[in-house]
Amino acid sequence: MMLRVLLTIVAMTVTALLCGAGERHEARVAQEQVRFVAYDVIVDPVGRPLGAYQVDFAAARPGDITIVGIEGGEHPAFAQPPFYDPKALMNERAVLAAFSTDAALPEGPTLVARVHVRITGDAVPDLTVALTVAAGPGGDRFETATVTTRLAAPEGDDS
Amino acid sequence: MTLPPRQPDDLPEQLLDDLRALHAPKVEVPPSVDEHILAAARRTLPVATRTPWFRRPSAWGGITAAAAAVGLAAVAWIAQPGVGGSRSTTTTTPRPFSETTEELALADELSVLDRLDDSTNETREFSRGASIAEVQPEADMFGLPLASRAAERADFADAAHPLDYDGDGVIDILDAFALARTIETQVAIEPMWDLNGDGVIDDDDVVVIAQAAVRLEPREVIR
Amino acid sequence: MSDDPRSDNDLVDAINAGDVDAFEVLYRRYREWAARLARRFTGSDDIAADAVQDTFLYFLRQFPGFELRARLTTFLYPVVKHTAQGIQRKARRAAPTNVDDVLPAIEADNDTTVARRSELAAVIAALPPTQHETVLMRFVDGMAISEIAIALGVPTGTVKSRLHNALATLREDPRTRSYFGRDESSQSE
Repeated sequence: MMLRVLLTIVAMTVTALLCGAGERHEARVAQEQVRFVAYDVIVDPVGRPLGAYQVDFAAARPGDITIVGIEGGEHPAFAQPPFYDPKALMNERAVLAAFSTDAALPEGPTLVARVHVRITGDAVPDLTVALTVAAGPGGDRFETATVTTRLAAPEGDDS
Repeated sequence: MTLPPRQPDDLPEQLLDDLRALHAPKVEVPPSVDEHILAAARRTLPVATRTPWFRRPSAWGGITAAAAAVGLAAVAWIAQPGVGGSRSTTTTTPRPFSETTEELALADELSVLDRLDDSTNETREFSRGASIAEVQPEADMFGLPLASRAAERADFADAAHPLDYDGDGVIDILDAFALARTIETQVAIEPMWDLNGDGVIDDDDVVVIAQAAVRLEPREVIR
Repeated sequence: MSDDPRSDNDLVDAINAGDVDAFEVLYRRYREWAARLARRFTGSDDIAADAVQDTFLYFLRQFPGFELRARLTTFLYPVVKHTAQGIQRKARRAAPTNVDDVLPAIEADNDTTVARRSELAAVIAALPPTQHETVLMRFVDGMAISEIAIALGVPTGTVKSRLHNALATLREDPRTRSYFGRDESSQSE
């Protein structure tokens, strides 16, 4: 009887350990999953022509993302990649800035840059994007301009 | 550079050879480029990585001596009539630093301390009391040209940072934007804005400012 | 100097400690790669030399405190590319900017090889620019797919699809299908 009880306890313990190990393994695999996504950075000059902007893009929590690339925006005035420190690549923060002396400037919400990031694990990154400065074509600062970021549409096969 | 031996299995050897023959021709780098880059390295690396003052064995002796000197001076000053225990309404002219050995040692340590940028561990080549235009600016991303023109900029910019084109106290994209607009109008621009020292004030100088604006290290607030 | 056995990471550590010789080793290790890359984007040896200079002076400015988190070529690739293209834009020279417009010089020791390489150059030049650039990064520069993804800022899947489509073109195009064993006679030199 005693032996049977002991064997039952050992069997239950082994089963529990195996289940736990399996969960840990699954968790580790999930953690190591890598995704690439892109975030659009959108500046809204609120009805005035946008001549220049500077934005601070970062992950709110360290380690959430790694920036792997930065592209320009959609409007021709900001189609070229913005200025950024190459150190931003492989890091989680970038300062993006651009200006345009073109005559045709965007006046509404404008996609000014796209930031490609690598996400390890299945966590949803918490991003912060702050408008350091925005200005009109004459360098006049906008006090009411805003910046937002949104998940970009998935990149299709570009071939 | 030797190419790493990473030939993909799905590409025939001859195709790889031809691709490399077509697109990996040897491009000579002129010796003048070598010299320029290596001269910049010789000039900046030992300076940039100077041992922080607090790690130097000799620093603590100097600081101790300086502290003792300052302490003695303070005691002597407090012992003067009218100073110390009672409040005094007498206005005194600040006592100039006399150049005793100990005080010079302290001044030296303070000067070294000034050069130490806490946030980046970079050191900057300026001493206490120097014009800010003598600071080697962070936008000196291409090394020599800016450094070589530091003295010239000193003549202009007693009140403004060499990259603060619009003079608002912050280096941001609006400084680059303002310089770009000025260049487009083709009006005369002060030679101090030839930031890369190539003899022409053009887009490259705008880029110098823009790159400084987006640097990841905390940007310098001047005023 | 170029045979220095230290790894790039070891050299970066040494440079962070103020070792000028370590910087020279790293510079000599990668200057020709950088020059070749800059020339690929601009078609000009002069611009390539200027780009090498600006790239390495920029790299020098990263010290102390530089951390090598990927291969050095991955870090330097966008710097060389943007620097070279920026110099070319400024110079407003006649040389084309797009990589697919820059036809390489064809040199070989016999006419058969010249002919074959000419055909290959034409097919490669006709690839979409993104495929063109990716193929050269992978097969000429020897960069890993993950390194290309980081340097270009695109997912690895995009890199793979670009390579897949480019190779499909090479396999199918009559001018290059012989590389894949479909016409052995045309490969003899």
